[in-house]
Amino acid sequence: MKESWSTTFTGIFVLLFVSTLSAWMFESLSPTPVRAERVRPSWVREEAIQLGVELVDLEQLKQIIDTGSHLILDARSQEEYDQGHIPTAMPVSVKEFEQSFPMIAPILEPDSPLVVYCGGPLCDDALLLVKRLRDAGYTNASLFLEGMEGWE
Amino acid sequence: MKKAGLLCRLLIAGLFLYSGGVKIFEMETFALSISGYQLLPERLVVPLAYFLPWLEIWCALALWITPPFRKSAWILITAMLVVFTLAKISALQRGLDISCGCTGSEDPMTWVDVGINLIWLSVSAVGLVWDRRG
Repeated sequence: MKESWSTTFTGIFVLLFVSTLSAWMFESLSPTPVRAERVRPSWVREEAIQLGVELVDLEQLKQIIDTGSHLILDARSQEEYDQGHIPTAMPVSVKEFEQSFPMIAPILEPDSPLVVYCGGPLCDDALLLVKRLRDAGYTNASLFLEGMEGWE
Repeated sequence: MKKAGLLCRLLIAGLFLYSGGVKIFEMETFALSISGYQLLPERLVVPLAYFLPWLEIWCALALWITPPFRKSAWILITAMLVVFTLAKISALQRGLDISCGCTGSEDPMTWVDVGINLIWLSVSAVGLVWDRRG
């Protein structure tokens, strides 16, 4: 019985050790290792603030929809947009930016007020879209961080 | 009893191999899922995201290829399932709207996921008792 438990503890130790070693080797060999700052729940908010992107809360978004003062852009995929989206929002999938952006470009001015959102506070598609829009010369994009989760 | 133990081993090994493999290919998504639970210090999230999938895979393999360590693998698998289940209950009770990060799915977590986890935990407990030796 004593020997059996000794084997069991050795087995547990070996499995933990081999897993640690595999994880370490996998991370070392990975061309794009996961960065700690990208997996914090608050990293999108922190980066948006750092970039000077204006943040819009739910109440402000409701006012924006009522007044029609901003164009609202959904940064998620077309499929996700089709399943449900914030009223008046237009689909501009950041993952297919080259195809999706030309669809709305004709109605935009460089200083057009925009609000961008994605799935929720943990997704980064909306922030990525704000950056792509800035690169394209559209500098007046705000972020609705809570996204679809916050809207529902 | 031996057949029940073997069936449990087949089911759990399949689940853990699949779940570990999916997480390895979607490491950042898995790390975000762990982060979403808000249970760990931030500095532990990424190391755990790298470590857990490998532990799942090695335990699944150990169930088959190293009979002397089979009991060790069952203990670790059962412990993991207990921790995963408690983490889910904790997240749901705090009203967190997150995906469970279990098998790569990004669908929001519900109490159904806890129920599924409890079923897997039962399978694992049966394996731990009835499938110790090769």
